[in-house]
Amino acid sequence: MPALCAVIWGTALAGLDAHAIGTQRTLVAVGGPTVLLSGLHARLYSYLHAPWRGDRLVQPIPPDEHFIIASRTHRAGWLRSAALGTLAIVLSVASRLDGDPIALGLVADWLVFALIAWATEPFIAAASAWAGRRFPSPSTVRQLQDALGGGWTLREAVVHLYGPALGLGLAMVLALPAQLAIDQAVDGMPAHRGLFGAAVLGVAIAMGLRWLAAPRLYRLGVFEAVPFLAEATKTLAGPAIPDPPPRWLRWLRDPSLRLVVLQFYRLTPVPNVRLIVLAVGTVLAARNPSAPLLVILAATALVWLVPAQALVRSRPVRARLLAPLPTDGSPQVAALALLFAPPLLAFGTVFIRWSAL
Amino acid sequence: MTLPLHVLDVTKAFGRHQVLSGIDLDIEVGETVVLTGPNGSGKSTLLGCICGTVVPDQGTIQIGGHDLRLAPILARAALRYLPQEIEVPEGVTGSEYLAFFRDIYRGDEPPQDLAMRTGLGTALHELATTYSVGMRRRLAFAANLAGVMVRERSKGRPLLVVLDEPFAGIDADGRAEMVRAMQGVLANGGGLLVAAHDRDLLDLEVMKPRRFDLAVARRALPSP
Repeated sequence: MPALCAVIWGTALAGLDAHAIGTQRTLVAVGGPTVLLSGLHARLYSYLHAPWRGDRLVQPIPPDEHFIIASRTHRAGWLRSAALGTLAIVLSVASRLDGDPIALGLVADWLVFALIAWATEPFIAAASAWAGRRFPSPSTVRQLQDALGGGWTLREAVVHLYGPALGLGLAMVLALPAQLAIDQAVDGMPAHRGLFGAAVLGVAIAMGLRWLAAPRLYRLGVFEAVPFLAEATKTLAGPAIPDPPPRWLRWLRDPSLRLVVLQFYRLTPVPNVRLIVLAVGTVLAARNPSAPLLVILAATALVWLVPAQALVRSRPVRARLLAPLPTDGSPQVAALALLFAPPLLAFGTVFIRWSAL
Repeated sequence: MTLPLHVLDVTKAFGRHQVLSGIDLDIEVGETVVLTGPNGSGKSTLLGCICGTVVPDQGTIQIGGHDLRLAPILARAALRYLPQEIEVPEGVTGSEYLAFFRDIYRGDEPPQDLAMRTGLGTALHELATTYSVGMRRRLAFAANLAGVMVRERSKGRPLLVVLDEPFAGIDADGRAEMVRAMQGVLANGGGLLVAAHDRDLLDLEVMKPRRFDLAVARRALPSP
């Protein structure tokens, strides 16, 4: 998803008029958080949500070790998202990077935000660990938990509904003075001491949250927040009765192939909607030959393909299941062919259409 | 007469560590063999060799008369394997898991018969990944018996059912149910190979099993 968001963001930036400075800066201020938000849950997953975190809690591992291990996963994910965002913005203003201070300023704005997000994201998880506990009644935190939850999930898990948005908002607020200071410098305006001070303060607060507050809050909450979150997930999910599979699945004669396709339908979000999105992208690109529309088609193809990672993750279990069974490996090849057929068909259609024009 | 299992001179080493050496084991139609031995004696390795998840260094393995190397699909069609740790694929309900095995083995019994055999009731409509250890084992056991009671007998092909510690996590009622199903396999011309600990032998006693002790077989190995 971060890759997809970066592609859309970069395409939108590249399509703007070079003189529309305000629009470009707004797009950086809005698009940057979107790129990071799209991968936020995956980056923070290891702190509290991951089943293996709960499994490890039975062992005498200090909370700081849990935090350090989860932070490694976070760092790797953040690096990927930040690299994708940087690539998107650099490519979108590539022709102007040589000597255009506005283009350089856009890149700097993004990098400042990404750096502050790196510092504040672990704080989101840590604050959620602290607030995801059972507080005595009456207490202000408990009243807040009750008020914000609406009664449809555990009060201890309410914080996880709001944490990511609040955390990202915090990153935007902390980055704002530094971004404004950069933009003022780019525009040749005199340096404002107050703004400079606010920028330094924003960065200092972010670093303080990362290095001082986050480990302490996480330490206080991890042993309670993880079990409560697991309990809330089960309660929220209800009985695990999925929707029936699509009827056309019966047409697939090979049971192994049917299994893979069924998993694709269950493990990837809204497959039919993704297919429709790809079809819309194909129609748009086929009607009007242009590079931006081709990029959008590529993005819709990614929307179809990228969630299939869930199938790659489940491959070892499937392999162990199939190993002693009377079946060969060909269904996996057929499944791959089925997965790639819609994007290939889409690009083929566009290619034929463009050739005819 | 074709045997459910014919193992001849099977040898397996992992690096320099010789795990199996010259293992011979035949299982007759209607016979139960209990594979015993302490931890590390090679039970899992031998089961892996028989089920095709471990490749032996030498030797022959025939399942239902089919050589596991030369006719892997036919040999696997005559094999049912319940591993020690049951893994179920994500996104699949219990009933879909049963249907998958029924289709793979081309079983022709009604799906509700298989469902009854699990004893899981309405839980079969839930995702199998949410099941407890015991529920998964009951599900996998019933799934592996798809096609056993009807088709194999009619085709006259002996069938081998391999069970690796089948009673782990199963309550007393469930164990009794499984033993009844195992007796059904034997009555339908199958053979059973069960890896079990001493505590499980009592449950299997009703089938008058023959013990095959790998620790005894290992003692015959030349010292490294």
